Amino acid sequence: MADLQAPQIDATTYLHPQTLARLATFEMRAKMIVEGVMSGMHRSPYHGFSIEFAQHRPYVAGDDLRHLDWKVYGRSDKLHLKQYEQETNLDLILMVDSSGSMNFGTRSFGDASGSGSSRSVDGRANWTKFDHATALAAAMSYVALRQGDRVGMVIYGDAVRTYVERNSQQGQWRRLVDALATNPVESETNLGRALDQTLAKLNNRCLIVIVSDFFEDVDAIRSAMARARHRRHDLIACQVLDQQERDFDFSETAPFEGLEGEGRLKVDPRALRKEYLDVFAKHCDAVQKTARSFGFDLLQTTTHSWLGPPLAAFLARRNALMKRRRQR
Amino acid sequence: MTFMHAGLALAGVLCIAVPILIHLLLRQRRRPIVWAAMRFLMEAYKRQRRKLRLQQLILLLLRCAMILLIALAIGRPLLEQSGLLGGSGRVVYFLVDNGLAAGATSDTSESALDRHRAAVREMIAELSADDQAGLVALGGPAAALVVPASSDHGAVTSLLDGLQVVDSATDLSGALDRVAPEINAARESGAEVVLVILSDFYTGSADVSQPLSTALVDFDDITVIASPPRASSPGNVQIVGVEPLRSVVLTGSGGVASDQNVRVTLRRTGPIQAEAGTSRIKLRVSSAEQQADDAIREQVVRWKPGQSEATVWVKLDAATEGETSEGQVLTASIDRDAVDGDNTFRRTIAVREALAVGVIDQRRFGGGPGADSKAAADWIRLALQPTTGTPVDVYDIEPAQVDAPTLAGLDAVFVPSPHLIQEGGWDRLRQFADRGGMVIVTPPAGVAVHLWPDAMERSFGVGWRLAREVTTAPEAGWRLDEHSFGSLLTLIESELPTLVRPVVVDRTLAIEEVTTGTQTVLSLRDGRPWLVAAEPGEGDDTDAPRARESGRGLLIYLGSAPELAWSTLPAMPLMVPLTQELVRQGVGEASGAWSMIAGGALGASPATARFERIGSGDVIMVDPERTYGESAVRNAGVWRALDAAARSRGLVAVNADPAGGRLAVQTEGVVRGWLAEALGDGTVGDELGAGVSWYDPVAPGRMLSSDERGSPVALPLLIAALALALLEALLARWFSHASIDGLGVSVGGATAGGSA
Repeated sequence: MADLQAPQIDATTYLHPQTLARLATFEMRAKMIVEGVMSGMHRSPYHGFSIEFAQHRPYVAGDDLRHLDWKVYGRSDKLHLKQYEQETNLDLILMVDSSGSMNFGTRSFGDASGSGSSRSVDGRANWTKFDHATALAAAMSYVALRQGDRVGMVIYGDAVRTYVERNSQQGQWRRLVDALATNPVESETNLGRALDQTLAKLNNRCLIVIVSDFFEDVDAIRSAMARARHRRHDLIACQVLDQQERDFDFSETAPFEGLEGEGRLKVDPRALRKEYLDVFAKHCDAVQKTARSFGFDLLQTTTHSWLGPPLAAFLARRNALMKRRRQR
Repeated sequence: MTFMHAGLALAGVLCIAVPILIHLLLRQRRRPIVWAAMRFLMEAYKRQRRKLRLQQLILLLLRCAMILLIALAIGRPLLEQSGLLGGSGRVVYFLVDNGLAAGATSDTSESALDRHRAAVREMIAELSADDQAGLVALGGPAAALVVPASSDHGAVTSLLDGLQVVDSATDLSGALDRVAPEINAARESGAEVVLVILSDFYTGSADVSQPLSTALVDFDDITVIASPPRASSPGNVQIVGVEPLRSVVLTGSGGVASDQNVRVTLRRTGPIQAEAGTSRIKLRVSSAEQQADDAIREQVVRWKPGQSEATVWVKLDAATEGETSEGQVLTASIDRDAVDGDNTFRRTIAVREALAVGVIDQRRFGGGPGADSKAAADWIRLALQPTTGTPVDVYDIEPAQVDAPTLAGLDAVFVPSPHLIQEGGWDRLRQFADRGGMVIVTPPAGVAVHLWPDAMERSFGVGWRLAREVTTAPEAGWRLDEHSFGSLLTLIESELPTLVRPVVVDRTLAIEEVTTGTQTVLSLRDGRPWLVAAEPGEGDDTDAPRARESGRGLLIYLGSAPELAWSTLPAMPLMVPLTQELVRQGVGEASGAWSMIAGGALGASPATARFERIGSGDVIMVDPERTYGESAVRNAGVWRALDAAARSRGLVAVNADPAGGRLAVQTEGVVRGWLAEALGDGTVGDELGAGVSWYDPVAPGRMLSSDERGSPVALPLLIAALALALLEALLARWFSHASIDGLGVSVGGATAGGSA
């Protein structure tokens, strides 16, 4: 379990205001029918904005005009949307990779965090992939919790290190962020074992979001996803990469030292760049194909990009897909 | 293969370690980069490992080769004619003229030798460490200072700095003979040979009328460089001869001989020859050490335009005061001019009150005043002392008393009864002659068979063969030749025909054979020699070579006994002047002939151990094993011969070689033609030598410099290094895939990859 007595973390460090603003307009839906713990075993109608009115919020560009409250518009001459409480709960299980490879990042912390702090609580000046994964997990959990879904979290390396029970309380979000902020980022990766340990704790079908760089054998990833598919869980693979890992534009010969005990290798990066990028691209492509082969989605993001736009685009596409399915 | 700058080449080769060191140093200093996607990097490395290692090896080899080529190019490799391996540097022989003409000073008071010395220094500075330098001084006889050539350039320069102008003529022929074997050896070893001749090529330095040695004429692969002939000359007046009328001056009882005639010959060369001018001659007689200018006689010579030679007679007073056993020095000098060496001329001269002449014969008793009763010795005494004032002292010596003490104080001895000389007597007479004495031998009367000539010939070695028996003339007798006389009678030469004509020779012990060195003083009309003179040892093959070189001593043989039974000579007017001249001139020639020209070997009597130059510290040790060139004297001056006990054995006056002091300029064409006879004219296809190139006096070292010499390999090496550098840059860029951005390689997008 997470050490909740760890130093208090400003959750906004990992959730940029711009990200929050974009995310607030979307609901997070499981594309599969989920079994709501609070409303009993029923088939969720998936009507979106259709059950109990919850509040109004200002219209922003891109919102569906069907949900405009015309009465409010008539009275105040302002565009507001009606928001409703969801009638069916979604259990979101966030699996965040905290292996050594996630402790890599080339973006400055101050630039990425949005909080004005130039260093992390442990003194780092760089924004690591784990920081980015934390932000992504925080964003997703924020959306899910706002929809009243239960959100649980697993932090894993070569095995499950921290497990945060599912909960739909608003304070859950801070607990998740605290757990992520205080978790050590080290050791090797073993997604298969961590997923097995996680699945063993789930007795209902959930939406599992794996946030990782997926620097692991594709066969092991495929095996793990196959077991999740077998248990009929939905899964979103969020691959977090650093921009340097995609560019590999070093210019000086230097020894490279692995973060997961791979040892040290002195190479001329210019001479190896083409081959490296080829290997890297093939791996990423293989991971994506593997996810698709099980019907899972893959979200690929880099530490140098804002979370909001890609996450929003991802959710929009996901909702659109679910809508098409309902129409069928 | 060798290098002009072997040190640079070696340093450059060592620089190959630089890229390796840089690689090692950078390898240690690089801080590791923490990298998450290590598994992909390692996989990429595994795929590329062999290729990368090959690329790195290629780059390393290219870089090393590039540095190596640059180093070799800077070192300027030279390929010898013999091939790529086993070659050596150049062998350069400097033949530096330090003869008499090389001392000629120009307006800047810089002598030719100073210019030659500076030029050689510049040339040596252009030599590389692998080159060898040799040095030959051309002052005759040529002295091989550094032969064979040496790599120690500093030593060569040091010897060059110590080189002084000598008073002998330039001996280029001797130098060529001396270096020819060494040059041939260097050629056979594959070395490039350069011969550098440094001279002004005045007529005194290069006598084009005398052909040079052809020892090098067949060496067509040597490079001959010479200084260009001097186009201007300061001109020179020189004393070419000083001839006293008699080398032995007899003063009589007064001790002073006034108005002794001395003939002085002057010569002038160069541009001054075309102008009128004057020269002042100073003459003095002094002891060897005396420096005072007392007893000086002066005479002015007035030159007419175009006149090149002048002979004047200078009258001189000679006194016995200051006379020593080794004689005095007659010195003639003129005013200083461009060449100092030939402004002074010295001769040894003897000033005596009277000559001491011994007559070796048995004392006779009962001889009357009549002419018929006089024997040969009597006639000789009368001829030696015709009057009481004649400065000749006559001493009678018994044949049994012919020993060194008896002969020590004599200048000449007459031997009218040679058959009476006992065993050992002829050897002692020979020793007497070697010390400068004169021996006059006449055949004895009343002897049927003459065996004494054999003993005389054995001791004196003059190469004569005398008859054993007396030859009697026909009734009318033989007459003497009235036209041909020897140099001993030069002073009375004009009166000799008159004096000789009445002499009738009835009997003679004939001279059947003489050597070429024998002077025929008087001869019979049929051509047979009657009175002959020769230096002892003239006919020797092995014995007493130094005595022969010395020019000392004189043996005179008269073919008839001075008795009326043999000829009418004793009663004729010729008898007295003949005897007097033979004694005076003969003694002078026998004892006072120790004058020589610089460049020759000093002659020495057998007892001489060394020569010392008076007024300087120069010493020449007498060593019979030494060759001519090594024992030669090159500096003018008065030298004293000393025996092992440091006792003086006499003086030798050495004078500058007049031939070497001529300063007439010669054109390049004349000198080139003269040199071409010895070194080839350099025409294409000529089998003779490679010809002569003049060096630039402004930059003498240019022709020996690396630039002039050229390095045909250096430029290609630099081009190759440049090509390698270009190739290395291209390969390094290609291997590092520095342009990969342009290939459009990318990894995925920034957004999600679709959905289920």
